[in-house]
This record gives sequence, structure tokens and C-alpha cells, in this order.
Amino acid sequence: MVIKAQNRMLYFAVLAGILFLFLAALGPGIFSSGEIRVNSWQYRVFDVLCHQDPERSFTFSGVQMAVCSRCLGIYGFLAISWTGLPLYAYFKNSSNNRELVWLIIAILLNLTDLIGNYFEIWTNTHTSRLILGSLFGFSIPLILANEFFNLKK
Amino acid sequence: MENEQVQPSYWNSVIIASLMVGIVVSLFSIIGGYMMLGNEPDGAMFNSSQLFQALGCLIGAFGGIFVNWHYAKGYDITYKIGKGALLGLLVGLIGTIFTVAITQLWNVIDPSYQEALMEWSRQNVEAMQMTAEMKEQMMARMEDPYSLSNIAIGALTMFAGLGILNVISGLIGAKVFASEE
Repeated sequence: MVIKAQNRMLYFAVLAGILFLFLAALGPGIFSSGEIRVNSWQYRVFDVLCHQDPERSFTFSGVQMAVCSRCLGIYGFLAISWTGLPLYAYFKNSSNNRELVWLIIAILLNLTDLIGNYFEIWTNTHTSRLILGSLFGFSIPLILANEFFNLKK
Repeated sequence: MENEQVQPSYWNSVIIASLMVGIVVSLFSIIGGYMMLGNEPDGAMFNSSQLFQALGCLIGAFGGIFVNWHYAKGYDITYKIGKGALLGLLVGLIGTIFTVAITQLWNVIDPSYQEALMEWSRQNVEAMQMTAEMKEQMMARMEDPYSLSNIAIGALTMFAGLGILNVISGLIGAKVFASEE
């Protein structure tokens, strides 16, 4: 069995976009450390996409990342999952199409966590937000696997 | 596979979705700005009103799904996933232009809004726990909101995020609503 690729240009264009988002999400700390750079382009890319609360964000080289821990999980695992699409397509059982269900479950888990934390039913942590964000980010590309890679017997 | 016959124009769907994105993002941004003005500057680098603004933009990132739903279901057609990505990219681009236009229009409706935001930001920097030198540097970097280059840079950085996310949501929208499977 071999993997047959299609829409290659689109796959690599989206990969470039996702990697750009992931690198930007790591914040200005990947280039230098120390000084606060509130006007850095990384912060500006995400200032309308993420609340960028310092208390809910990881740091890189001592500098706050451009996104919160949940968004870091989303963009990080979006990049990992997109890169690993050929591998996923190879092992995927073509008779089951549960990726949309996984995506909906990931969205519902994140919404439940947001609501539970907002109403102080529980208190989420950096790690729990990162894991839940990762589930969401990871499940997004899987739904598109067959559009880019198919098994050829 | 794409339908053999010539497909109808997608511009109607793109403009509707872009307008929706522009209105939602700018509305949440403007309301978030007023929420920020309602609070005392406390020296925090980021504030709670940004959560509200980010919510608007996250909704805007679903423009790619909306445009594909509107186009595919409106004309009852199917098409390749690349077209879905293109529709998402166009919504990200035109939605950004609408957002900038609506925000600038609001500056005409309420000219004191941007001035108040700038003043609030200055007071916030003053309240920050940092050296006087760093405060001076931050003050110097505060940008003129009416400068054309700053508006263009703001639009470009917004498009970088919103554009890529709308391409991905466009792919999902095409897969869900326009796929022949």
C-alpha cells in the first residue's frame, strides 16, 4: 500500500501558514529574552484572536508568549497534526469517518471547561488548558486527511 | 469532484460573510474598548476587555465555514476543497478591510474614542511596575491611531491571523457542506 497525495500545493501552503502561526504564538522570546515588547508583531497578530492574559500564558526565555496556554495547545498541535496527516491517512480505517465527531467533542470539552471555570465550579490550570486546547488543535486537520492523502493498494 | 457545468459566482456569499466578519469583529472590538475605558488603569499589560475582543475575532475566524455553507447550500452545488480555501481567504481579506473601515467610521462618529483609549493607555503605562526608562520607551512606542502606516500595519497583522484561520475554516466548510462524499 502506498500513500497517494493530492492538492499538494494547498497542503504545503496551509502548512506554511500554520507553522507561521505557531512560531508567532511562541512570542518574541524565541528571538531574544528579557525586555518587555508589548508592540512586537507576534502580540499584534494575536491581539484580536486571544486575550493574551499573562496569568494564563506560558513564557519563553522569560518573555510572555503571544497566546494563552489553551491557544498554544491549539496552534502547536494544529501544526503537529497537519504535519502528520500522511501518517494518519496511512493508518486510518477508511470505513470509519469519526473525525467530525472527535472535533465536536474537543470543542464541547473546551466549552465545558470555559463555562465551569467561569462559574467557579472548578479552576482550570495552565496544563489542563494546554491539554484541552491540544485536543482541539489536533482534531482539526484529521477531518481533512482524505482530501490530501489516500491509500492506494 | 467539481460539477462539470459553470458554477455561479461566489462573490455574493463572500461579501455577505465578509460583512458579517467585519461587523462582528469591529463591534466586539469597539465594545471591548469602551469596557476598558470603564475600568481604572491598573498597570496590567493586558486586560479583561481583551477577552471580549478576542471572542469577536474567534467568531470571525468561522467566516470560512459560513461562506462555504452559504455558497454551497444557496446554489446546491459541490466543489473541490481548494475553492473552499480560496473562499475562506477572501473572507479573511475582505473581512479585515471591512473591520478597518468600520473602526475608522466609528472614529468619525465618536472622535473622542481613540483619544480616550490613548489617554487610558498612557495612564496604564504610568501605573506599571517598571523603571522610568522602560516606561519612557513604551510611551515612545505608543502609536498614532490615525497614522495611515499604523492602520495598514494593524490591518496586515490582523489579516495574517484572520486570513490563515479563515483558510482552515474554509477547508472544513468545503469538506462539510460542498463535498460530494
